[in-house]
Amino acid sequence: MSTDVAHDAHHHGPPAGFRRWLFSTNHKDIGTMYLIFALVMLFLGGASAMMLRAELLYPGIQILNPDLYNNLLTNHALIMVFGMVMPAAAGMANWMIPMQIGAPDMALPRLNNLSFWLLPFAGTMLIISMIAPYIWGDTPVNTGWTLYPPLSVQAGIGMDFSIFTLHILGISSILASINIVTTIINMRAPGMGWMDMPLFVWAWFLTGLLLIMVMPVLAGGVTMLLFDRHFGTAFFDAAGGGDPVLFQHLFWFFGHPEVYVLLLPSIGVLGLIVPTFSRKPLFAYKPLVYSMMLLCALGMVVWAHHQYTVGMSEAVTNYFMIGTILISIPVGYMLFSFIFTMWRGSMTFETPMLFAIAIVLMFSFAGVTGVMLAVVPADLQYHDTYFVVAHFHYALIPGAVFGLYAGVFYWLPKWTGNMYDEKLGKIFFWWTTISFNLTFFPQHFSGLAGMPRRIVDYSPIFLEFNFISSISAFAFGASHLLFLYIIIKTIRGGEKAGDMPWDGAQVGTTGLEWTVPSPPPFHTFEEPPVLKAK
Amino acid sequence: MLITERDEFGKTFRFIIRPNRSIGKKGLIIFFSLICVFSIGIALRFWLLGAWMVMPMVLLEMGILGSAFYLVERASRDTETIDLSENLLRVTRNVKSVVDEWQFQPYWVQVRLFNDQISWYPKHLCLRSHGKELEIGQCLTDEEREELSESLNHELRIMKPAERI
Repeated sequence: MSTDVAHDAHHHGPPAGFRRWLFSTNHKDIGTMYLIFALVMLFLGGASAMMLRAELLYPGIQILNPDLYNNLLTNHALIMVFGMVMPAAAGMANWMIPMQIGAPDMALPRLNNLSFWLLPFAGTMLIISMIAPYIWGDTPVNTGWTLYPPLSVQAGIGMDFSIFTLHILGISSILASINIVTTIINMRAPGMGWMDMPLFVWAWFLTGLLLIMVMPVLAGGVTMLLFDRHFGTAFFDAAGGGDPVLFQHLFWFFGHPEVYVLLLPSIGVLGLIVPTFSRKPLFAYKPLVYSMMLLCALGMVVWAHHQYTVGMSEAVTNYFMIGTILISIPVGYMLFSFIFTMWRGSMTFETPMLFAIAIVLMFSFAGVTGVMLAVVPADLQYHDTYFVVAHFHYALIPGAVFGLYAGVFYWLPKWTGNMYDEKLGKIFFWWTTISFNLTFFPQHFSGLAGMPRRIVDYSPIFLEFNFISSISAFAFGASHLLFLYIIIKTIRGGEKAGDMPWDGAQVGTTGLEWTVPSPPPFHTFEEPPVLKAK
Repeated sequence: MLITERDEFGKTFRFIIRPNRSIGKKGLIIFFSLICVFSIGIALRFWLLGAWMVMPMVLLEMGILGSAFYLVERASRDTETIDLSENLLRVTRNVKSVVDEWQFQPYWVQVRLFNDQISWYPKHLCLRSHGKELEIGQCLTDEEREELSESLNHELRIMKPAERI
């Protein structure tokens, strides 16, 4: 045993300036950085989508060449999935999970710092993947986010950067998931059992587990791709005894659960917002948790419905079809649970609740087209058409992105201490919802009429649908400038928010985040006595 | 987590501070084993299909997950003990089996709870005496820090001779 004296009363504060953010281990700092990164990526991914829609405004090739079109399309997907939705959800998890379970911070704060700071490197690498082919005179990455061989094996140097981007993003996601899962199982406040956790915590726990189980499969798959490109292996080369379809299985074994990785955090947010603004406890909380577990379990064993057309046996195809249709049961249960929570509740319609209602309606629609796509004979017709594009945008924009918007409006008062401008919030809601529907609803018809996806040009018979889609997409994109304005305005000031800015939160949610001030009171010291004992 | 020990007269003589853990070592091992079984099972299936490179990724990930669980479990054994008697306030800190000890004279020691410069950082709880200061309870939540601060102040107040008169 050593005996020591206490330190002198030094007057050294926390790191100032960029060092505070670079070395931060505080979950709220890191959560904020995740959210800012996601916002930047939202605009980057959105800008690429605007260019795609500008090209598709009229038939013919106007502003992009086919390779650049497919490159933007690939990066739009990679940025939105890995750069925007996942970091935004991770940012919310960082901010809210420790507060909701009564933990002082994340279980592994330094790992938390690392998992965030990998993201800017990955983002830079992704941008290099776009620029490098032009420097080296190579073809850009034009495979789509699925990176299917043989095209991806033959692609230029940009593909290597894309593969490394996926590696880094994957490492970041895995580290974040490990941290979140470790935090939830270890650091719940005394007395908070598994079935006392807010739905958002449950959703992230299951998301974390999903990521832990499927992310190494993607990592292995893209590493094999890298080996095929540079080290003479033939994992996916039929001429060398390999099988290109194996990559599809590897990719979609990760890719389908990834849909639930994107979706579940938003379902968790809904599980807080709907009870809060209905002023009723969540209807059938436990079965809802079980249905989320069932969704994850089923989600891991139905991946091949993305590849019905590769020629699997009838028995295998039937298995994947039935499994996929079964997914509608837990999803339907979740949506009914939210509807029954609203039923006879004292509902009010603040911006988060408006988004929640829109999610229930529009995600249900994606569920209907999802069942259509699950049926093999129908899917053989719809495959690789704009019907699929419309389906997954209806699943992911309301299911994941609107859920994140709802979460931002719900927690912005808690994060900033200021209420956002409700009127502007509602304008943003109606603007995005209407323009989103006008963008993607017509794509169901162009898809059913046979318009193929991932092609820069289209037949003039699809002009009207595409013209409406493109004009609405520009409106949808522009609406996000208002979103940015609302966030900046709220950060800069506004009506002060109480500890519990939503009166319904005390009835509807079980998290501990409303017991802390919004934000914790600021206290200025002339000479801050921040001291650490060693 | 804050544990308060009192004597038979209800007087507090010891505070024990340790990180809160909602699962035991056995639970962690079972949980980790289940994840390993699922993940390695998936990797084995892909290996049989020719995609053996999934396995090293899974093993690497399981290594990181296991290390994370180990670190958290090891940190849960850290303790900070504050022993109070009329003539001595002793803080004993056991971190990774290294024991440090600090001693204060209860009459002079001040308990200071204050916010960080950055509004959303955790508060700081310090014991201060003769120009020396020691931060305690860093693994506690702000609510627990406030509780400890109040309890310590209360106990120190009733120990001081002037208060006893």
